[in-house]
Amino acid sequence: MFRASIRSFDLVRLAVARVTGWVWYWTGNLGELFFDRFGRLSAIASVLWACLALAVHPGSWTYPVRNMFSKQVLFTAVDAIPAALRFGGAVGVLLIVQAAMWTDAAGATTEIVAPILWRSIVREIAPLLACLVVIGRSGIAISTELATMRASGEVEVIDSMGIDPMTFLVMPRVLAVMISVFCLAIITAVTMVVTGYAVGFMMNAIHTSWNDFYGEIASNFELSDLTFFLSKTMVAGGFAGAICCLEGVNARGSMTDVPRIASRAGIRALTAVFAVSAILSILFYNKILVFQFG
Amino acid sequence: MTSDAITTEKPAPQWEFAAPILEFHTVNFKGAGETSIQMKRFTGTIRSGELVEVELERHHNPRNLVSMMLGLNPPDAGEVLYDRQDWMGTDYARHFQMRSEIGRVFAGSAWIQSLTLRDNLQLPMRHHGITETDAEQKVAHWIRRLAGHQRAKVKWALKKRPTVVEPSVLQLCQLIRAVANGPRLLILERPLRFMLESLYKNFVSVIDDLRDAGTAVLFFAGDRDEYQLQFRKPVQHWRIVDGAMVTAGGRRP
Repeated sequence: MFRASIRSFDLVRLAVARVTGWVWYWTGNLGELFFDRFGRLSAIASVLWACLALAVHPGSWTYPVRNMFSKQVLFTAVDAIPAALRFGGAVGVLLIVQAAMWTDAAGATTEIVAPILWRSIVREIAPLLACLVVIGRSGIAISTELATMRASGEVEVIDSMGIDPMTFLVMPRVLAVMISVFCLAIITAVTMVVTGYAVGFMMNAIHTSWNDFYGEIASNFELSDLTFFLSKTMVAGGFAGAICCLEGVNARGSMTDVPRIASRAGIRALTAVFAVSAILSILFYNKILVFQFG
Repeated sequence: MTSDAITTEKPAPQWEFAAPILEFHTVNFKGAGETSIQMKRFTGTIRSGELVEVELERHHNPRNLVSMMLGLNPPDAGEVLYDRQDWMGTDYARHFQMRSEIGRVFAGSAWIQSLTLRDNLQLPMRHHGITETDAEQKVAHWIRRLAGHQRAKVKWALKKRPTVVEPSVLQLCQLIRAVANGPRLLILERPLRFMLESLYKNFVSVIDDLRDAGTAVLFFAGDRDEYQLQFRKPVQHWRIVDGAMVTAGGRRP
């Protein structure tokens, strides 16, 4: 009896020790993960803040910085217009034709559908698509370029000449990405509406004239749409630019690590863009997605 | 006539009274990697107009050490002062301003590969507020002084990116970039590597003229040819003993 109770006591003690160890292990991991994410987020916020602080200081805009900025805008915005048109056209067709078909089936009219479509395009889809184009086309290129510069000692050369790498390399790129996302989102939104209408009209999915369709959209345009659009493109673009630059500048190791760093930067930037987009929507609508009723 | 000659003649340099440009106070520095030059409780000063020559062995890499002198890496202990100011703290604008007064010829990678050589040469000057015309004039002046018979080659290379330019021309361009803006401190890491021997005398005369104008020069000499250059006296010699820099000099036999 006594021996049995001792054994069961040992078993309990062992179980408690195991559970405690397990709890400690997972708590430690959770804490590590939290601090890692928090550190990364604060680094991104610091880069964004530093970029904005440098950008408003006229002394930062020396000739080489202006030159770098204009080259980056050319590459990130102007050269990406065909890609934005293609993406906008394809998604516009998918979205508007599908919406028109389903609303026909439900018996709704274009007057009801057009503003909903416009809002979803302006507030959600166009900024996201523009971010995807910019990250895929330029964000990864930026992180590759900066990581290569870091690995080959070019950042050290710039630093040695008394040029702040933050001012010369990071700030123009982050700003260029922000502005490019904004401009490309406008192009994407317009392309989506125009192409969607044209294809929908041809497929007999949209029955109203262009004037009526456009009139519905224009009459439903609100200042809040602009606020949404501006904040989503600028904030998400800023995050994308800052993450790509940060990954590139923080690169350690040799040239062989550059492709890994570039792909990681792309994935992290995409994740951040979706997360920022979702968080901004929650903040703007003051609803925790669909779970808050009334 | 005689009195004129006396008044215009430069006084002999009084090294001990010249302003200190770069000072080391009991500096410890390990560097990264086994080829990096170290400092062990190193104390020394380079003054305005002074030339300090450090003779390197083939395996020595001065890049980390020079980056530490420029405040890019902190020393393990001690203090490095440029123009009586340290590299500590977060006054980054002051640090960048201080670095803009220092010319450097790099051992190893020295160029921004995405820019042409002309843009590379003009980058530090344009960034620090010099107009395009002035920057071009300065570059043209130093090409005339340094490039000798390679002048046409250098001018042609200015339109190209560094990857397609031959090393002897690149090295000349590095030297031009380092001296173009009238540096107060010039740090040369194996500056004559790849350079044609016929241009050595141009190099020596440029260094002597810069010293006359008050530039302090720290010269990491890379091979026997570089040790034999006849600079204007006096020349201080620091040495590398067991991988660490010491001030007790003397030219090697």
